[in-house]
Amino acid sequence: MTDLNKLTLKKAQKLVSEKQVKASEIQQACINQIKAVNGDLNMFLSHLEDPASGQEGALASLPIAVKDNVCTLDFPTTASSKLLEGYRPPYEATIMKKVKNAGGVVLGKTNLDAWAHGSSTETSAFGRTLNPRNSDFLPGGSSGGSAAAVASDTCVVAIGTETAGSIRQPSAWCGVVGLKPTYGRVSRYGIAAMASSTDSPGPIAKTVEDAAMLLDVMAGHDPFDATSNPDKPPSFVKSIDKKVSDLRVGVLYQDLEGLELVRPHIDKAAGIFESLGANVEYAEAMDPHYAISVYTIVQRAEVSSNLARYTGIRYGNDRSFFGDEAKRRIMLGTHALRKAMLINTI
Amino acid sequence: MSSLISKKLVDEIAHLANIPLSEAELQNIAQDFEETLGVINNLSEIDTKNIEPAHHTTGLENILREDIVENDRMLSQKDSLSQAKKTHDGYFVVPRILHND
Repeated sequence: MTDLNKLTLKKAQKLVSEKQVKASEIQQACINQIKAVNGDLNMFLSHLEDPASGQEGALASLPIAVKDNVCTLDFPTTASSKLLEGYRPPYEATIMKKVKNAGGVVLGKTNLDAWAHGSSTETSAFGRTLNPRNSDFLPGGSSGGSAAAVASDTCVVAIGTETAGSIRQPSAWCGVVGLKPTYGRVSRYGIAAMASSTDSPGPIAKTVEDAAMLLDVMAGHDPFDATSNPDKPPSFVKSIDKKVSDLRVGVLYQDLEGLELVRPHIDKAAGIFESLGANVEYAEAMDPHYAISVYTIVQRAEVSSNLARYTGIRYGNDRSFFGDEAKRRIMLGTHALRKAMLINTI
Repeated sequence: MSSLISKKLVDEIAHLANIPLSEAELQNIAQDFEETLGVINNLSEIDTKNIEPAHHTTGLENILREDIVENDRMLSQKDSLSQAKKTHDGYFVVPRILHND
């Protein structure tokens, strides 16, 4: 069988369970594809050289690409920063434990905007990633490496993280499926914290069903993340078969500048929902420019607090190794927190 | 408001944030600050008097746990020190913060 690296998770799982294909052959096909295209596209910062065996489980030793801000035992974790260059975490993220327990194999670590600060991978200390669909374009970000890895068939499925678009936007730019779960659905433990009150890890995949399959593995309460949702998650794979006829679908922002290009596609999608019996309603919401301002203040403040831990004492390099974007964000956040402190103490 | 962002203010913030900056970086960041603060200044247009503050999205409260040693996430001394650039007799070496004078 050729092009094993192009298989979807569902198809790969089926072929492996029916013993038509070995998982190691799929891994090898992905490794070969990485070797063929990574020099040009720069998606992987580190990757397996040879197939590895995983545990028994739903993910059946299939190769998964993981954003490099997720702590892994088998690979360095750099958050695409010089400060963490070469850092080998002595522990792994909860989602990595879950993936491994489900039989998944970490194929490699993917590029991102340094510390996930950006929407293009251009702030990575290790060079930007290019879009596999057309290398004149960027893949988006911050999970640009993971989205590009899926789009270039260098992995079966991938993991990204998002606070405000970092899974969905690169997935859209690379023409793959990205899903940002509700905050708290997936554990943040062991992920280089950017904005703790919004960080949400999630799947990036070739199909909706694959995304649901990976989310089923990633989701669930984690006592190590106090904000993770204690409720048992539903089966996302089963949820796909639910009818949409009883859904109310809201379409926001009718005349927003810049929406002209995507408006016909939104209307088309709304039409499909309507034809399936869903109730589509058009509504206005507050101008999102205000939301961006609120996000900028909250995100910078949380960045300032979260990146205070990088002192170069316990691990990593010292604070002079921060890149320009991280410095800007830390300082703006420090300014905001200092202002807030002054106001509160008066 | 641009005039509010002096190099002195940026220098103070850099000190608080423990970020070493060159003279050129100070200048650039002062300029970036002005731009960003100009953008987020649009919030002053909104009347938020009757808007309830939102602190968190989850609605979770007071997440407690037993006060016990969690072996699952405890690192050995060797592992804890494994990534430090400088160690001494099983300790992290930190910059001196107390001085005689």
